[in-house]
Amino acid sequence: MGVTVRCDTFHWEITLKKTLGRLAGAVLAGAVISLAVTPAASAQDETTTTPPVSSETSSSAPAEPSYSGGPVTTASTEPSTPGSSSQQPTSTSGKPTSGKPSPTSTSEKPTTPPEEPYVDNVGAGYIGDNGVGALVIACESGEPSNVSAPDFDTLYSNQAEDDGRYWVYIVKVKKSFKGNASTFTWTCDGKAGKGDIEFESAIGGGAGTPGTPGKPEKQVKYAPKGGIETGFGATAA
Amino acid sequence: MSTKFLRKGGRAVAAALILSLALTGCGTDDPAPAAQQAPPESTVPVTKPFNGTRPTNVKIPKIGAESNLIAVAVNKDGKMAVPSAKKPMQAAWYQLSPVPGDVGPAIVLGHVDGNKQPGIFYKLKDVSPGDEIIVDRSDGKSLKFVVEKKDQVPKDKFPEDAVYGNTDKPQLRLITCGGVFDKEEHSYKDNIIVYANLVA
Repeated sequence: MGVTVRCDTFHWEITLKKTLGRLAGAVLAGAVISLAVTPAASAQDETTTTPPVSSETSSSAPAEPSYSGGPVTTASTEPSTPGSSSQQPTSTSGKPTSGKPSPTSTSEKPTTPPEEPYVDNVGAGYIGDNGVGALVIACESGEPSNVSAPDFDTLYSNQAEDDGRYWVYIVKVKKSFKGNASTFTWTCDGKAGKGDIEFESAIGGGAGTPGTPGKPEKQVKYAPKGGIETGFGATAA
Repeated sequence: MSTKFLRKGGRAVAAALILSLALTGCGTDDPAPAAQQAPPESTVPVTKPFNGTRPTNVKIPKIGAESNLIAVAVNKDGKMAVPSAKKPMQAAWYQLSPVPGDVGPAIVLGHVDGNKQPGIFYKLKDVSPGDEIIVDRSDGKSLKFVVEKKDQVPKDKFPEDAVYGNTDKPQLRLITCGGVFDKEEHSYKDNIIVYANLVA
């Protein structure tokens, strides 16, 4: 989730500029220009791809890639995209088998979102209106110790499978708790940490109280707000 | 220009050249500018995964998509966590939703694209009512779901009740991005949501 490479590169550039004088600076400038030019060319390739839109709009779009993981590949039309095999999920049979998304006339260029850098030893909690939620702790060195959330019972915990630097604790508010704010603490790599816990709604004393008789248990324990970010524009038009 | 400086400068020139070559030579895998690169993949191994009953694989024959499933929860911002953009072919199960096959809406998500290539759900928009979705579970069950409907909705009007609300039977939600890519927001405007029911 972090952008360590980006930060390192930036630091690199600053260090070089400060210490190397004109010659090195000129070469560095060349590198920067190269960075600016080459990705732009690559981005141009991306801009010529078909956007992932609804089937209604895609009916007029040219052929798109498909995958051979399943026994049926009815949408397969073109040869494999170079390099795509290296990006398959671990242990999965999903494989892109058909080629490049087809061009469109749009000029909008996709970009990968500038994601925030990874920050170690921070955490936050999010609790749904049924009193169940998740605490997340960033701890690259390993599983945090001394995790304490006095207002909650921990149902289970695991490492985030999408990024092993994060640790997830599924918790349920204690029946004695009332309010809409709480905190939790932990130790990561010998350092103490503390995080705030947000509540979707106040707990206790009202119709929304967890465990209120007659209120059905939520099948989705915590419902994140808003849409889900599952695209980065690589195929956007 | 001193000898010392020249030595330093020489090393710097070489380093800068290497930097230039390295960054411009990322080839098809990652040619984006440094400021716009997808974040580097974490090298921290997952030694303590979710260990309850879980879905292990999803397959959509209609679009030839198949992936194993990692379990995701929420990120530090309270949003639903998603697989790394470096692995756009990786699908995931939201571990705070029911296990597919249990009563309720099981949430499975996948990238439409990432890392300059289509993602596992790139063609989810082509799924239609009646199409089959196969989900395998860690307890050995293999479940068949049939698509009931497909929606494309703006992210700022995400239908939380329809997606996350309780159901009286085992259902599946497949979610990815769609619609227009907003360059300023670095995000697609919409989500594509497929609703499916367990049939076997």
